[in-house]
Amino acid sequence: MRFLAAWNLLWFLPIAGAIIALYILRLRRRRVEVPAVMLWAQIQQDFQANVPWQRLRKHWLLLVQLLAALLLSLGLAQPYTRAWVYSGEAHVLVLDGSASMLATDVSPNRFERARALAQEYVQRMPPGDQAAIVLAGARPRVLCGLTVNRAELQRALKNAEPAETGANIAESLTLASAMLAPFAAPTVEVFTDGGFPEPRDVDMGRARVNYHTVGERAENVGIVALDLREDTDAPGRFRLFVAVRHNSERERRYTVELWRGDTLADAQEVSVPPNAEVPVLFRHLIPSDRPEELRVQLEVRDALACDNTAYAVLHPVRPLKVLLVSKGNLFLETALRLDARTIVEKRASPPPPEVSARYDVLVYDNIEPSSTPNSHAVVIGVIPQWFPVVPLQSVENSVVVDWNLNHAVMRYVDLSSVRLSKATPVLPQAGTDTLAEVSEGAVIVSVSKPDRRWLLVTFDVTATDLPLRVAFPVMMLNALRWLTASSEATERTLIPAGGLAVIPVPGARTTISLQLPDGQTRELSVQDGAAPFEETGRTGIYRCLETQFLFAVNLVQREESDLPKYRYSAADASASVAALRKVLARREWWHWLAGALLAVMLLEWVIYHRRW
Amino acid sequence: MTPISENVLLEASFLQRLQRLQLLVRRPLPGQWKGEHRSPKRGYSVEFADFREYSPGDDLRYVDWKAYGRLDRLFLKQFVEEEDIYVLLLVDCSRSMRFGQPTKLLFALQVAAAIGYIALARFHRVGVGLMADGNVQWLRPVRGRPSLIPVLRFLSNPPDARGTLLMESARQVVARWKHRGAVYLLTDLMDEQWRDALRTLLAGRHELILIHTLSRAELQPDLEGDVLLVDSESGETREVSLSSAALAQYQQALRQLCNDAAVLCGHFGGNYLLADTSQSIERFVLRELRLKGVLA
Repeated sequence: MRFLAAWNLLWFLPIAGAIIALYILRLRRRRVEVPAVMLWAQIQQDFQANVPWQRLRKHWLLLVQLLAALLLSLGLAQPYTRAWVYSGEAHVLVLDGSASMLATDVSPNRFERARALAQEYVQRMPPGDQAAIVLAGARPRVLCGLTVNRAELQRALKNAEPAETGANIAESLTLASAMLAPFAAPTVEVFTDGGFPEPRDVDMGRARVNYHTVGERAENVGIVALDLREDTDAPGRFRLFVAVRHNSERERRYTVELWRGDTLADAQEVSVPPNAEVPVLFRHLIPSDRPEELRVQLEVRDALACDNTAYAVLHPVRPLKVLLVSKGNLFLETALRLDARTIVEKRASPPPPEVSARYDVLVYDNIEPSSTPNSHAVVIGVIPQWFPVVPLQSVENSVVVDWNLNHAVMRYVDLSSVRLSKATPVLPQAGTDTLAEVSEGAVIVSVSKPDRRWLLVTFDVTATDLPLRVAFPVMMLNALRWLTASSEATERTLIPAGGLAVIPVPGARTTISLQLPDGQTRELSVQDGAAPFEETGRTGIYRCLETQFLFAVNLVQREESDLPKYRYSAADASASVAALRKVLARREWWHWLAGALLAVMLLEWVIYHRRW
Repeated sequence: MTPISENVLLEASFLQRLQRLQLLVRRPLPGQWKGEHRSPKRGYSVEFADFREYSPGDDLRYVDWKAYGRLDRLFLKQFVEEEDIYVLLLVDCSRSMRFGQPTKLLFALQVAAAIGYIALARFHRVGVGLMADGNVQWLRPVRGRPSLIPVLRFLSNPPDARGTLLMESARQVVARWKHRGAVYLLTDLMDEQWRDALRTLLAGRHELILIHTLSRAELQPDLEGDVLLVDSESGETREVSLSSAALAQYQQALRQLCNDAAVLCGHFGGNYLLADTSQSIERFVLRELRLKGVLA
């Protein structure tokens, strides 16, 4: 046995000396009243020990405390021996916690099977190896950091819970790779059903990825898309679009039910071809005067239950008041009036602030606003100084080369081959979104602030062929919806599972209570009029108890509903073990000494109280 | 000290069992009235004691006429006199007597009450002295069963004392108690001058019955380790480290004390009894006192 810090053994001398000195100088005595000390006086000559530096007698407590001091000194000296041990490797166990892992094609479900595999892996892990547990959901979550403590790992695995979300395996692998960076030959063990695209672009460094797959090929049908929009043919009414998909090899028929609250509102029977999806449209949904829960349900029993139901929230609608500030633009006026809910008023000069405050949207057509609008606004043909863009040199006969189809304003808008006889491209600044651009710069730019939104069209629409295209009224309709946040409200209330929900909170509240689909409530803090919430791991309707704001969380992911048979080859269970090697390493004994010290202290306590 | 209930001292059922007992006093003691105990005086009982020559005025009924026929001289037959005796119950009421469970003092008062009742039932004269701090509280001698009530009442109110000062108490007893009789001393002898005190009492030619009252904690102490012993009477402290060897020495000292007391009592014709207060009063009185020849 050798010592890492042998000089610490010297501590024994002062510690033992102090203990002995304390015993000699002062013995702690129990006060006992006796009838008389007459008889005891005869024995005190030999046994009285209150005199300093009297002969030190044999005392169990003293011996035990000296033993404790010796153990302490030995522990501080860090004794060690050399022994052949396994080279401690590191593993990150990535446990797929996505919705497809809830499939019951294996009993009780894929997640439990994966958990059992992971637990077995931890149990079989060679001594000296350390591991970490990462739960791969919409966002990867480290359940247990790198540790050699098997019990802690098993406890983390036991507490892992899957969510009704997709799995971001790529991020999980990136995280695992970062955790394993310091190790020579680490492994990442992925316990999954393979329901995700193969992560190709992840740099795993020295880590090797082994897949442990669970699940069989199982038939499943689910709702893989859902959208709720106002019906353009019937203003004031809404359409609910869902897509039903199955992975069966045969054509099957399904009944799709639409429930408004607890009332069955509609039902459609659809026939789905093999390995295909079909759209289902529910029309003429008339909003009531308060937000209403919509539930689309597939009447079927299959391997995955959570994708058989989808949720939406139908919000009430109100008329939209628009002030058109223009010297005359028939195309624009017609486009704005397309929506029957829109009330358009006109004036030829910029309105004073008290007037503009009465309108939801101000549209400036070739007239520059007198000041920064304090409401939603569309500015066409002029570039106000307050708009966060830098005007560039005007161009003639240019063509729109790109537009952002993902933006709500440009949805269903086709600007291909739109010719601009004259336009002033701009350089967008921070806080702006470019919606359309010519080769020289942006021509349609939006700004979104918490309380107002602006849209800038840098060219005069009458100097283009845009008004003659169907894209123009669609774009203006989208713009009005986006500006008034009506379409945004719908988007805000349709949250993909695992996504971030931002709950608008008017007024000066600092906290709100959110009721989850399972009835639990969460206290959320409010910042800048909104409360972010990201624990959207369960599908269903979430309700803010104070403002009655509702939002729906849906799975709607084809990868999860398809329940794919695993794509990756199963890991060679012995591979990681075979890679182990024995090395001559130092084995420290201080923890055994610490344990012995604890036992001796307990013994000392017992002796003290039993007065041996 | 809180008064002790008279019923606690002697229960009715125990009283009935005491009625059959009597005091055994070895030496003849003079009494005052006719009683059941042999007196050194000559009297008129049925037990013959001696002859003496007739003197004018003697009762002619006690002349031994057979001797007169043989010797032609008048002799008078003398018989043993039977009288009552004086019984003194001395109880040590010091603070050291308040140890034990039950306390040694309660045990001693119960024993004193039992002996007092037996004596009263046999028409002896019973006096009580409660010793505390060198003083003795007295109950003058009383006689007859009805006197049990004042005896019990007196025993129920022991003084609240700190020390004993046995020697001082013994001097007071000798000075105050002029009657030769049986003295029952109930004490734990926890006094440095216990020998002088006993000698003082025995010098009065009393029949001394010493009931050495000790608790179980004194007979077999369960102390171990390092302790600070505090004297209950003087407050004196002694730091001692106890082990089995030390306890053995204590036992030796205790045995020596008991032996010395027994030898001293025996030397002067007295009687010594060691009373373990952990036993029941019934067992001690009905068994121990009879085995030791104190009661019959």
